[in-house]
Amino acid sequence: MTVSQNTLTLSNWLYHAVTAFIVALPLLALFLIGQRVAAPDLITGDFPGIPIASTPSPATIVLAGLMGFLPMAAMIYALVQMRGLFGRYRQGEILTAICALHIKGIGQGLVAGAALGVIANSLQIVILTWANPPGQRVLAIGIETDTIGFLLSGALMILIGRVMAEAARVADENRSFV
Amino acid sequence: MEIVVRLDVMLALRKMRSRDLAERVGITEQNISLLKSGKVKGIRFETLAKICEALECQPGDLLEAVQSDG
Repeated sequence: MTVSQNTLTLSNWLYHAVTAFIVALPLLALFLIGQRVAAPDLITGDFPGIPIASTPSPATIVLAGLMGFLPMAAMIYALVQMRGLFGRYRQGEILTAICALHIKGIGQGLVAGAALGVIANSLQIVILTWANPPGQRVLAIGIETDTIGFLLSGALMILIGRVMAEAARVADENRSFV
Repeated sequence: MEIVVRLDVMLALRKMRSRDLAERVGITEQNISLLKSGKVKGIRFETLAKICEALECQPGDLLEAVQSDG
């Protein structure tokens, strides 16, 4: 199957961009945690409306920050799947079962990231308000528009992955026709 | 019942080489080889028509239905 040069070029570009993003994302998270350890006042802006009574200790900030790695791990999984997909695309391999698996993996990563994001956010709020006086500790569970967007995008990718698996099967069968 | 490809017989009758047929039909020699050995799931009407034209024969001269062993 012939693949246009534009597709190959774009895939190659995206492959390198995603690779850089996989490396940069955890580093950025570590930087943000470090920044908040140095300037704890920034945390109030991260959680608007949440009554954080006292300035959190560095250990509390690090712990809350590490919670953020839960959804990030899922997102990195999705990015690794994307990297794999673009890696196949840039080699001209577009309609195969492995590509379909990668697409499904991206969707699973996005869905898991959205779900873990809700959990992580709730845990972060509990951790940051733990030092509050009794009665002022907060457990907040909220679903934002972004979360719904990620869930829907993830579900869509899972569905497209399944359809692509079927398309790959048909393409494979077609290849065995002379 | 299974379909057996008799392409090798027609090639021999027409004294034509696989490479020449592949060139005239516009498919690879490897595909001709696969076709001869019956290792394909199917043949497109377009390919069949070109082979028939090149070998000056009918589809029935190339394909035969035989009783399978099982």
